[in-house]
Amino acid sequence: MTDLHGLVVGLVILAVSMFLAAFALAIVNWFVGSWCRAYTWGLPSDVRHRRIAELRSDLYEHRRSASTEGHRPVEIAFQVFYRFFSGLPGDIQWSIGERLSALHPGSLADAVRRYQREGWEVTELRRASDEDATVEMTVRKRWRTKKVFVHDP
Amino acid sequence: MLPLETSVLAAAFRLRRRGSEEFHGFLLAKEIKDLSGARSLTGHGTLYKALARLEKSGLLVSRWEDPTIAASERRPQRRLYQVSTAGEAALMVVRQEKSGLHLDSLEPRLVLP
Repeated sequence: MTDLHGLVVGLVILAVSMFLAAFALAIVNWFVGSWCRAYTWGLPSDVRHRRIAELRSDLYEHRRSASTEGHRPVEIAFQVFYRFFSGLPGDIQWSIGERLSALHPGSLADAVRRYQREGWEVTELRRASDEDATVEMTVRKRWRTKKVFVHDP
Repeated sequence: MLPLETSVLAAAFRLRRRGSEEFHGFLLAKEIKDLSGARSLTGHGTLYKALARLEKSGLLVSRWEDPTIAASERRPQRRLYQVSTAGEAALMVVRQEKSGLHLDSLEPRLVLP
């Protein structure tokens, strides 16, 4: 019974390993795509969609190129995972940078363009401070209203 | 400019010399790997952050390729990059600095009869 039990466990492990090897690349690509959707969540939609689309293209080109060079799917999966892991700090830094840009847009014109692209309506612009040329911009989308402060010398 | 950004521009130049005026991210990653002799490709986050920085600085320009081309080849649409004039000038400055050459410090050579 112990031998049979060991045989069954061994076969299950083998089956799972073969399954993972066969689908390793698909699993890794799905994982990397999910990570991209996570760190771009909440960013302006054009920025988010561009990053997701570029990464999708990169994953495709990587798979195609590596397959042509004779790499097996498991090897390609390791390469993709390595690129994901080594690029993690870059993803996080970029995401933080984009969020800060969205909070503090460069100029008033940039701010207006960005919010309008996102479907917001600019309802009011007024000089919030004469000393440092800060403009208070009120934007509205459906039921949401918010104020954004922009430095516009 | 960061070392990776210099590598991006240098790789872009090499691609251009081989006839690829425009390039996408993965192609650039492969070229950087060949140029630097690295064992692995640049990470996604590292590469695309560098490309975004260079584009914001005006050293690269980019566009989406014609969607019909991607559709006909049954693959995702590529974002194509190109080195701008400012990018060419920036790379030239970096190369001059690395080789120790500064144009304004070059003295005229004495030509003997």
